[in-house]
Amino acid sequence: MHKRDWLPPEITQGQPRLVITGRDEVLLEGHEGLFSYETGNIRVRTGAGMLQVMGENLTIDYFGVQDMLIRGRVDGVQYGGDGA
Amino acid sequence: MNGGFRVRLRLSGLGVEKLLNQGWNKGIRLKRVKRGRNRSVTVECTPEAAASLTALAREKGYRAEEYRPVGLLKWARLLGRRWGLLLGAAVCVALMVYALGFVWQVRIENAGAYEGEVRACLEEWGIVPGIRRSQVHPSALRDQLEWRFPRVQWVQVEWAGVALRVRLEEGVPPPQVETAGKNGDVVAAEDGCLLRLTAFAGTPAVRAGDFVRAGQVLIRGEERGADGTAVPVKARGEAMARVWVSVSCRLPLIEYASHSTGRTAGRRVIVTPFFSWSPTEAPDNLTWDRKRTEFPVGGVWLPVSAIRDEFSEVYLEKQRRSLEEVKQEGARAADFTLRQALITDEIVDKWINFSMIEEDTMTVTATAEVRRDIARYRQTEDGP
Repeated sequence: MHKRDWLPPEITQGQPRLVITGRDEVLLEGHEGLFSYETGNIRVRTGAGMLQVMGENLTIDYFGVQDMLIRGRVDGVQYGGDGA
Repeated sequence: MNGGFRVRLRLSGLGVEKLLNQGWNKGIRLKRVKRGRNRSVTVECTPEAAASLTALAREKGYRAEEYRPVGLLKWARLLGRRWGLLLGAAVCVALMVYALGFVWQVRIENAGAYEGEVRACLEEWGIVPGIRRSQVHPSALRDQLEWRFPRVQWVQVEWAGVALRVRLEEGVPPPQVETAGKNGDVVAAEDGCLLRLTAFAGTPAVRAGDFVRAGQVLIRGEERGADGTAVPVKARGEAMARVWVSVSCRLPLIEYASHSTGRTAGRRVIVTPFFSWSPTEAPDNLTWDRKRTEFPVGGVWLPVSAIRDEFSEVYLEKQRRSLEEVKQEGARAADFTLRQALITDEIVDKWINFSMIEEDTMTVTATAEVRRDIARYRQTEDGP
């Protein structure tokens, strides 16, 4: 087995890592920028494509170089192919 | 991100997300990004990041305005504009720290009969409210007090906020030790009816059931030797007896009642541990009833009080008290005094008598029956 296979894909392949806590918080590590922001819909560029977070009263609590923390009422998370 | 000093920016324009992305590409970290009205978002960031983001917004044709400072920066700017408030707060803190350097109260606890003596002693040493805290050394003061009051078991001196607390525990004096080697009798300490007599040494002179008087010999200090001769010894023993103890108190049947004449006067006094001041004098040369109301001005930190005295002129009228009321009061007083006198004894029976031998005075006598050891050693004068 190659040594790189031991490392997680978010490090080796630039893949995003998504942590959803309940329906109130979405932590996205390894994003590539904000594409659009509405209170009911946030679209973020990632190495795996466009990530869409749907919900109500969504706010970006932290917008860092690597991480993004989204808070609000989360209804769904979906990957799309456009804009990536 | 600097968590303390932050500003809130409002960014507006078409596709404001692109501006956020360009800021993100430059390493600007943002917090609390919220969508607002009219294609605007509000963000929080450090003042440096805000300056960079504002410059970038102007360059790209977006509108950026500082919305409001948040966190510590908000307070810094608020206090910067109101320097008088800042100065006042600083003066208050300085005054409070200065005031904490003094003793505002000297509390003496559990001293019992020694309280007045201890207070006088502390005043003699200059330990009074108003003294600087640094001039009081609790451990040295404790040693001084222990030296001054040898009958006190232990002394505790400690700080309780701005008060100096002195706590004493009175020692129980050891029982009188009989002089060993001296011959003598055991006599009755008081009148009583003997219930039980136990002689450890000597010859019993009375029996259970006898009424004995104070000073009467209970156990004679001699024993019969093997040859039949009387050998002087130191008598020892225990004599349990029924004893009656009485206390009396006198109460006047006449009292003076005050009636208002309608004239009133008022006075306000500011009281501190060091001095008291009043703009007006208290009325004198007349008989007044006084009602006092006290307001703590300085709260718990500063013992400064404002006192309001309301004087009402009265005339006194002599009148006779109700006999029943005096009896009840006298009974309560006599009973209390009796209990105080017999605090270590078990009371078997108790009764109260009233007498009015003197005019305008009632004498109330409370009597209790207790059981106690009345044996006391008395050395014979011609003993060895």
